[in-house]
Amino acid sequence: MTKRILIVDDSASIRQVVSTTLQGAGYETIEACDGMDGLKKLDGSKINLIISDVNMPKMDGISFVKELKANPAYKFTPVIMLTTESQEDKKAQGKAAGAKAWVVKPFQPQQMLTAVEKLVM
Amino acid sequence: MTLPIEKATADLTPQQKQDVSEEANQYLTFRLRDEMYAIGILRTKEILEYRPITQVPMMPDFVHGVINLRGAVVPVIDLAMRFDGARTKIRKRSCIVIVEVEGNNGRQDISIIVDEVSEVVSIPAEEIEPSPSFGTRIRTDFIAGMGKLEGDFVIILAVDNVLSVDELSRLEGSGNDAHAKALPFEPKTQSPDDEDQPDSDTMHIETDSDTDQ
Amino acid sequence: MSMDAALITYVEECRELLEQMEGDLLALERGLDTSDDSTTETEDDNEIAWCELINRIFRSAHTVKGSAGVFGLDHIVEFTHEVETLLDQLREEKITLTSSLIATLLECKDHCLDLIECLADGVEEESNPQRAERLVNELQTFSPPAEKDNQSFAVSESNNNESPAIERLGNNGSGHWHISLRFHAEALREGMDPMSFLRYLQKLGQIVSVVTVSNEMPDNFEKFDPEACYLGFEIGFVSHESKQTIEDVFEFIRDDSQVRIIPPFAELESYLSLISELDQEPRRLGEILVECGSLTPEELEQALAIQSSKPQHALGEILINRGNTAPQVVEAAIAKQAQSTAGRSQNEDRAASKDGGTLRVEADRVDELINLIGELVISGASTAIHSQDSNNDALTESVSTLNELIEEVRDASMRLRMVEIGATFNRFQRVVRDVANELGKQVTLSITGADTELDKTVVEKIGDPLMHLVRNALDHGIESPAEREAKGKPLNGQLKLNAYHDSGSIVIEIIDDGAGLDAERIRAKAIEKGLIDSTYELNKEDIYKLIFAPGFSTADAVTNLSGRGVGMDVVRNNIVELGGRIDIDSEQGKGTKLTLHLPLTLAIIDGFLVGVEESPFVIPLDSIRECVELQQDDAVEKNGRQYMNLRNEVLPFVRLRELFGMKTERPIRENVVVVHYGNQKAGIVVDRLHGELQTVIKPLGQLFSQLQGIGGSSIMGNGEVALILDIPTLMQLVKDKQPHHVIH
Repeated sequence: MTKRILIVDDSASIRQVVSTTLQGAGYETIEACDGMDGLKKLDGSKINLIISDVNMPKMDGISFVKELKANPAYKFTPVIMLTTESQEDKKAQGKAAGAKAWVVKPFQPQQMLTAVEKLVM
Repeated sequence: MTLPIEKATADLTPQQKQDVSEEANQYLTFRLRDEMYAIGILRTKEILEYRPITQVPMMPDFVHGVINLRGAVVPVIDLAMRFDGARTKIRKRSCIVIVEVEGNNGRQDISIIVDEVSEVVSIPAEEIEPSPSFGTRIRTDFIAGMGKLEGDFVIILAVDNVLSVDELSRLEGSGNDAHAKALPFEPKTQSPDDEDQPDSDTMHIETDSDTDQ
Repeated sequence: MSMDAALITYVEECRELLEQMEGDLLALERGLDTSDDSTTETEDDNEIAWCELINRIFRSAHTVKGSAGVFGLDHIVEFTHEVETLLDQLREEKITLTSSLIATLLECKDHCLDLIECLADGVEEESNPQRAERLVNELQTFSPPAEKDNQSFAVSESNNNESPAIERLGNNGSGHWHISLRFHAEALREGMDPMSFLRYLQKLGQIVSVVTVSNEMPDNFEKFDPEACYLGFEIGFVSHESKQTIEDVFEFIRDDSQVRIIPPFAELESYLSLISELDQEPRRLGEILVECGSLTPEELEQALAIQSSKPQHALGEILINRGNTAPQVVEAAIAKQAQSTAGRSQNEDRAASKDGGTLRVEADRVDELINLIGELVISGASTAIHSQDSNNDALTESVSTLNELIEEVRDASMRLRMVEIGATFNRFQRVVRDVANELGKQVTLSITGADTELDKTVVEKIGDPLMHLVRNALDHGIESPAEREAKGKPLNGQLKLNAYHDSGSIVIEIIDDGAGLDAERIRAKAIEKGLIDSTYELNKEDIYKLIFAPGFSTADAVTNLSGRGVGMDVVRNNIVELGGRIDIDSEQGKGTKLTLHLPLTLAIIDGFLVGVEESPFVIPLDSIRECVELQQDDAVEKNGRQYMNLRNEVLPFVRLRELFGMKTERPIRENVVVVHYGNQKAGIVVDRLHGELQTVIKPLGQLFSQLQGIGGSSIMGNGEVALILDIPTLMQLVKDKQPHHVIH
């Protein structure tokens, strides 16, 4: 069964690259431009993994993950956070909120695929 | 009815197609008045039957007007008139040839009226002589070369010069250019120093503007 | 969808982000100015707004960098990293904001934009290394020195991970990796699927043995939490990958779960510490290891013997350390989060309304769609003609319904291309700032009507003319502070950009409170330049228009700003080419108002078809007031000027056939189309009136670029081309025929 992945990032180009990469590896992707939009896209349907940026307008990644984990339908859904090397504290916050996986920006598309495969194979 | 020119080259066999220079040596020949001319086949896009042309006012007379080519508006030039000043009479065999012209602002389609389209011929490079420096009926920079064809010469046109958009657009309309006085300060007009010259713009302004006060 | 497409998206995205960054930086700068000299009643509000601005600027830089990395654009990553680092320090309040810092950041933004534009041109390398280096050096002068140490520490820490595998001293022992996993209880709730790691491991090598360890499971069934994870694995694994790679498989769980990896042929010591570290009955674990094939029974005995002779405290310390550090970081982080969200929530509402569900589409595709719809409109019109000829009522009716739908589709597709003018206006914040600084003037730019929409193609073309007019207002309009003081004006000059819709066109105003135009000086100059004759009287409005004459310049000293190449005549021509016009209103000493009238769109118009001789012409419908028959008795023609009596109103008119030099005789009956533009009316006399049509504007092409009075062309239902009249130009012509207006 195809695994569905939600990509939440305010950068359209990042979404596009990640999406293209993951689709190339056989995943199905859904895109959202910020946390708020991400929650909207979660309509109760099965999502196998969520990739979320931290720093986004409207609703940042941390708050998004907190909301997500409060939703019984998605509390077991793994989340990969996109962090930067300068955001050690964000990483910790993200983990506290329930996002245990992360990929450090800037990343190569292949790195993202590797991280995804570790979680949903 | 249109006769797509691609036909002439599209029918080539694969072996022939290997020879890329083949196309470069091919020319469309046509008649204007009593003279035969040729244009490289790579520059001609289409031959149309003569059709009604929408005239555009205030342009030089040889700019005949515009036609609709599948949704694009293409200017029509009376080529013979550009050469000798006399308007071409439309006859049964008159055609419109769409030509691709390379200008400062990229490629553009311009069409020309010809009296009769003759044929597509091959003229090898060694059969083409440089344009004579004098003694031709048309401007020498309009001539790319003189092609030898069955013991006769055809004038191979330098289309980018003949149909130079830059040059054509700068030419003044020969008719009533009353519009010139509508805009006292046109970008294209002469600097103030030229005012004494009998330029058509200033002439009209002077004759038309009455002094009322 | 390819990566190339993503790159185009990236370029677009960066342009937007950098533009926003510039706006935000300028807003910060303004804030900096006002906080210096105003009382601080609203300091808290400002503080919040500031935080958000800095955050947003950081986010822009962050995204530019982050995406650049994805595309492997190292030069952009490198440069923006420096910018981001500094912005981060600014955000953390490790450094304070100064105007010189903003100036540097603005320059950095410019540099980034250059890099992006180079990228758009296919250049994937640093285009201006000198500037990059200078800017990076400048940036570093702002950052506190302590910061650099932290960074180098981070690097050395990461190197520690790559300790080489120690070979087992003895000959015996297994040649496979041994992986010991103990998932922590929360693993499932965190979305970690234990099986997923095993599956991924198989990508790297072969799992030779797995023993599931489940002794974490509570004995008492009531304590059992169905969502908790009680699993552990002991895995024998054959792989040629490095230790780092295998470790990285578990990077997302190793902080909380226990992951131990023992390389092939490792010393017995490694197994020993494994056994002692795991809070488990040693013998049982040992047996599992034997079961995995990682240890032979002999080795196990040997190891257990060593273990019993050693004190076991090392592990406890490690675990405590591990347990202690994380919560502290988390606490600190949460505290910070609470601060920053407080500031953010205010801006959320505003942002929410702005970028709701949007879809990014390439402009080319929209253009293609609009072109096709244009064709559809044309064939719709031709179908309508044929259906009417067929006398088939049912057909006529359904065709008319179809055409109504086509019109709706057309309108809807046109709206796709409508954009707000705000982005164009905001660009001038920077221009005004820079130019005012350069000229030593104080100018505040205020923007209104930023949400006024117009066609993207129009927006793209008014940038340059607007730029020139704004520069001109700054250069020649607004006076120096000293002059303003002498005149008793506020030192700070006001420049205002305003936009609004007015009957099918967009109106853009550029208003300054500067010196205004000096009609006498302009006139004198025009006479001196030979543009007008000294004997003619001109009204004020006409004198003002002289500034659009080629080569006309009122400034006594040509500055390096407006005096550069482009003249006002070019600006005016650009506007006219767009089918627009410029009006000038000025009061000496008080200021100048330039008003640009532009069409909302360049693509489709509602027109009215008329005929002269055999030629069809289209008049834009929104410029038409009414159509009447020309009553020869009411028409006065004298000295080449023509006007008629329209319900006791004097209406100047022009015969299209005369204007266009058509040689045939006038028909007995002629019609007048009364058109208006701005506040003026005029009559255009034609032979026939054909009625309304909707039509796609087709450019006439470069060949006709100098042609005045014709705005473009359109293709009618029968396939013929009709020329579209350029009413503003024609109006000008009619007006010129009026008595008071005489130009040499």
